[in-house]
Amino acid sequence: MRLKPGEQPTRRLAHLWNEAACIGCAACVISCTATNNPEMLYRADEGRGGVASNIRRYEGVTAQGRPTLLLNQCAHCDEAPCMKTCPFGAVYRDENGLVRLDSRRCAGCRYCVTSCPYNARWVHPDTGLPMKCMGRGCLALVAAGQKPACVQACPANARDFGDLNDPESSVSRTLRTKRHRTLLPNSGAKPKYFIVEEV
Amino acid sequence: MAKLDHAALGRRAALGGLTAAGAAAVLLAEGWADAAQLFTTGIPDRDTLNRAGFDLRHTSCLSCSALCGLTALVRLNPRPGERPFVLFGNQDPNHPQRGMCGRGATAAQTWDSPLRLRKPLKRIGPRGSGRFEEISWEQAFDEIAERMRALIAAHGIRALCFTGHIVIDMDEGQWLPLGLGAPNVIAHHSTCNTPGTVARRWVLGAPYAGPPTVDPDFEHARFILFPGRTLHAPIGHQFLLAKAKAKGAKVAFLNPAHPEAAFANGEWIPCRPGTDAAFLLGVAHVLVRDRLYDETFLRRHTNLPFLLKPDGKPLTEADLEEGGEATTFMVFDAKGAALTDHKDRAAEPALAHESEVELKDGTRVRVETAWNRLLRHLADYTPERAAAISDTRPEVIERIARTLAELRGVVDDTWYSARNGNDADAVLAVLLVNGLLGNFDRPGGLCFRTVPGLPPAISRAPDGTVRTILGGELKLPPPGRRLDQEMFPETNATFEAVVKSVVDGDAAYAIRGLFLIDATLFARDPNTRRIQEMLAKLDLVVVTDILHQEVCDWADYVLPSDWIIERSSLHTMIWSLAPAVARGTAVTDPPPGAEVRPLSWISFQILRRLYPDRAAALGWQPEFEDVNTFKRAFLAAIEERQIAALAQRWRLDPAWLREELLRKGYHRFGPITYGTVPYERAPPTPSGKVELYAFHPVLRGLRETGFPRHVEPDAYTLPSRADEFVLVSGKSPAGSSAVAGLAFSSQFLADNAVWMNPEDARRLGIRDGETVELSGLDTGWQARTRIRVTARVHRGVLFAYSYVGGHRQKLLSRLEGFDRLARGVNSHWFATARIDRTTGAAANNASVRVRKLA
Amino acid sequence: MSELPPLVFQAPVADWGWQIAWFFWFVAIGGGLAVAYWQVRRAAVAFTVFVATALGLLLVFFHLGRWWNMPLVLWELIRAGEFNLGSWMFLGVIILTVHLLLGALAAYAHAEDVGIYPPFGDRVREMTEGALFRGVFAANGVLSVVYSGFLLTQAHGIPLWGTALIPILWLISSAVAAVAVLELFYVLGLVDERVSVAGMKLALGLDALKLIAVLAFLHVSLTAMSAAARAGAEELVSGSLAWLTWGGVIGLGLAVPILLAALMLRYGKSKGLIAVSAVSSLAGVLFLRASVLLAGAWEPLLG
Repeated sequence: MRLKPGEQPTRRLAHLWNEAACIGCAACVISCTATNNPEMLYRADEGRGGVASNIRRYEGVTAQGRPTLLLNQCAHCDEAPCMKTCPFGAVYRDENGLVRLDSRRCAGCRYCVTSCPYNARWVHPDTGLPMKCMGRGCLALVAAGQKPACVQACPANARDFGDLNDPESSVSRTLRTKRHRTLLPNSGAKPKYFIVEEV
Repeated sequence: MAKLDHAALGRRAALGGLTAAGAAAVLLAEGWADAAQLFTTGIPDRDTLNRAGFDLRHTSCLSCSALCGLTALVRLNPRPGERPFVLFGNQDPNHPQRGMCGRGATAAQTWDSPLRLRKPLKRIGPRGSGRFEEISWEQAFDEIAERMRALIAAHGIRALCFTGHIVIDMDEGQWLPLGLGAPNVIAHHSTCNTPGTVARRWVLGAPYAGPPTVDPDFEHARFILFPGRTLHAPIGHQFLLAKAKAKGAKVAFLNPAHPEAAFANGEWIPCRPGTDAAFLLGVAHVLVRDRLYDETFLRRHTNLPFLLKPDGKPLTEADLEEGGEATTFMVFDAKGAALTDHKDRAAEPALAHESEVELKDGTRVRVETAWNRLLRHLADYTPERAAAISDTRPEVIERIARTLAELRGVVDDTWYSARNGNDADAVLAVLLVNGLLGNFDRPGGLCFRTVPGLPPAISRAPDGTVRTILGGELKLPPPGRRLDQEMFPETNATFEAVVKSVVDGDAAYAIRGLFLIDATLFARDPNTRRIQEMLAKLDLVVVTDILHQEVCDWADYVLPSDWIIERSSLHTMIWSLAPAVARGTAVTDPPPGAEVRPLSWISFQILRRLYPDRAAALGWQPEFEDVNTFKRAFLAAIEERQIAALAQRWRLDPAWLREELLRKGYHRFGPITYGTVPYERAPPTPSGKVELYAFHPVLRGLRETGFPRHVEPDAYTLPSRADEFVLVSGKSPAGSSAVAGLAFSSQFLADNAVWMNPEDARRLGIRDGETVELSGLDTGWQARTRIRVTARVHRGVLFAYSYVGGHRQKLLSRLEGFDRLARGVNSHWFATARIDRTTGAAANNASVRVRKLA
Repeated sequence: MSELPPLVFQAPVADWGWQIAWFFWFVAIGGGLAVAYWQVRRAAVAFTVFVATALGLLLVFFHLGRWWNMPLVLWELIRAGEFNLGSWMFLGVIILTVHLLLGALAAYAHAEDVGIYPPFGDRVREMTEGALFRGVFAANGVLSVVYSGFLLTQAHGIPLWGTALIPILWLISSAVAAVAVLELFYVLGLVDERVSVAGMKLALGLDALKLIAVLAFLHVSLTAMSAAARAGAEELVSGSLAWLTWGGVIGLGLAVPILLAALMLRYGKSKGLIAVSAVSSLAGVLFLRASVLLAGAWEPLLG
């Protein structure tokens, strides 16, 4: 359900990824495609030259020279730039605090793609829609009270999803007790994709 | 250290495997939403699901050979175009091997992959051309049987070799070779686990030789050092390790390349390839120097108190007296201050002792305990020297040793260990360090698997008689020794013996026909040129597989077999230390248009054409021509009998056990047992002890010392110039397996570039993404590849994922979107196929020269 | 393995590349000439504004990945009565639509100059000659150009674009483009010499301003806090886009016109050289927009 201007979401659902637990196996990346875009199982996201998944995988090296891994996806930002820039209001927030796309209002300008500080979107080659977490498959899961596919696919318990408004949710408790961060904290977007730094 | 969110785990646990199925419910974006709704108010029972048109089915993952637990949500009556299933890891937290990695996640792609074999193929071009025509199963069976008949008549059954990967070790891979009485069933082991298997057999005894038979107790570990191993398989162990990490456990990986698992708060210790033994001997040096070892364990349960003669052989009763037993070893009893035999329970064997003894021929020799010998041996492996050899740092060796001792840690005993030709020493060193720590069969230590006792469907007795679990019996003469074991007596399987026999004529006899069961020969065996030469020379090559692997292009006939998710399965949960079996239900039918068949049915069809009487003796009946009848009447009966046998052994109701297996997909018959080997049950080694000084190879004259030592890798020419490197291969959890390596997603998620350290890249002026030419120093094979400059590989080393690069099957050029599978290199192009004569192990690493292209 | 390099450029993903550069180019011409129309009320100018704006809108419309969905989009907007006035793209759609209408009016007014006598032509001409129309037309022209700059600055994912220098650069280069078109008109005999002489001096000044603005943009980007902005600027200065910067923006777009203008001011005019200079300037305006677009990248998420 689209929130009207000034309305607050009843829940603030958020993803959590534990970088200290992730073994980089990519099960979540592949499961995301299988769950949300199975039509892309044998097709690449040509724009990025990679798997058509809502989760992106990056590697790098820390300042100390240690190899490091990042899995990134839409952060369902509280101040989502993509919502502000979308000319036709196709990008909106729902009652769960999730940033969603109304395909009826989308003309495919890709302003949301360039507006996202986290480069969380890819463009579907058939529909021209800007794709991102959460896909329709996972939205159906969440509606059914389930965790999204990436959370359930993870063999190392490195992912979680839940309501930040509920102090007893597993994500709230994790964020209370464990060191964590968000990406580009100065982006002004107030992202809700949390990277937990300790197991 | 913050704790793992056990409450969250618990909630997920409560949902059990059904949670996974809930996720599975939405594979097709909208098509599965109705299934997801079934879970809104809790876990639906099976009847509810069935009424709504769905089912939950558990199965096992064969995307690699670890057989982790999967769960599927199945649409019972899919509409055209709808995907009939989705797969997720079995989410039951008590499952000993739960979960699904990136390879398992490719299952949805594999099932109806454009590379899926769908009909029997007959070669119509030269071998290697990849030109085939589709033929009927009848024609395939008739022609294969005819050619086998001629081959057997001319050269005997021994001229036919069966090789494979995991399936050849499972029931379904056994029917044809056993029914034929073929001696040469030679699996993949030499390029995988042979060094570790041989080393474990020497130190712990034959029952504890195979990789899964001994493993760290991951769930209760406090510190684990992984020399060479990445723990990308079985992925189920990662879940256990996550529990241990939540309690503060630490892990470290000694590896020339940074494994993905090290991202998860693991320490990566980069090292020079082939130097694990040196590093570990440095660790052993510190343990001994600083008295950090478990003296009681060493005295009571290892053969370090045993006396050695100057030639390194153990002093036995037969050395001292006429008629003395050669299998009775001598120790020095500290209590009685005299020599005594090692079976003397009253004795207190001294760890440190040295004296002169008179042998039965009157000569006097100085003898010393193996411990004393070890002290001298380790003196050569100071941390400084070990670090210099392994290109690590002495302080790291010191720290790892202290951590192991302080946390009572464990060193993983490896799975895939055939890398450099000197790998048995590395595993001997692993066992030595674990022995010094005395951390065998204790919580968090190196533990011994308890098997559930699942009886095989078919087996061969030493006298050659083949028996089936359904009462079939086939009297055949003993098949004789395998060709590879004639050449390499210690090996568990060395396929290079077959290559030698065909290519070099360097064997007692030549193999003429090859049956490849699920064997990706080009991704499995070193020295591609020799493999090609062998395949070209053979009289008959038959492949059964699920995907069009590169080796298919070289086959006379390619037979499409079904996949594990298309059949029911019952197998020992091989990587569980606790006794457990997994039972898989057929998740789905084969994809539309795929005329795939069970391997056992294929085997019977060939056998019945060659030897109808043998097929009948093993249980074949005419009505089994219909494959569904075969599955229902024969395979189902086997499973029933196996479950009954398990129930009897564990005193369970068979019906209950069957239901339990159906409901959960597995059953664990008991907990991990600790404190058994070597404390209550003596290891079946020559000494009955943990032989940290391996007697067997010394007594057989295979080695001069029973201790591990560092020898330079001898499987390839060592690099000597600035542009020469050791090319190391390893597994990606996102794509490195015979099956997942051909998945569409692996083209992107498992890098097919060759990794180079930034230091080396700077020196050679090579930039990230640049294409270079690699030339094998030994094989001369030349190939171009993209270089990825990354700190994830040690200096002087190149790294490439195995299975994910350099695929050359001609089919790829005709498939849109799969062209990237052909990029990159297959490290076996450059590997030598030199075999360690002591163990029969091959080596997958190689050395190459890098040429920057203009 | 990395699925992607740490620095991801927007063009392969969002596809804001040459087509958008052409769109911006047409907007620059349409906007700049609308300002020029205040002084130079010629049919060619009016027609060019209309055609350039129409072409720009056509280009951007068919750049939409879902242009075929526009009727539904508009219906949904009207049905819900929700308009995102905070989006520069939405504002741009309005501004450019207005500009197209104003350009159409101006062209209508000049129809009789080309021998067409439409109904109410006199009244329209009277209106367009008034200061109000010309003022609105010029202001909307400026707004069009400014919009195309702010469109980029509001794309928060691309730090290289997050500078107010872009609208300024767009305005200056739009003026350069307008002058260049006027010069071409002179060469073609569509405007008189008086305009041309003024134009040449103005062009020289604008070129100098543009050069300063381009260098300022590169400097600001090269020294920015953002790694993506720095990396994008490095691409422009010495990377894969350097040919576009030095050859297209600086060489063709600035050095050639400046050199030719200097020569002509000293040695006298040449219609041929004026044409070369004008075309060169117009190409530079296009290359400037393309280079800024193509150098746009996301901030690396791994430091």
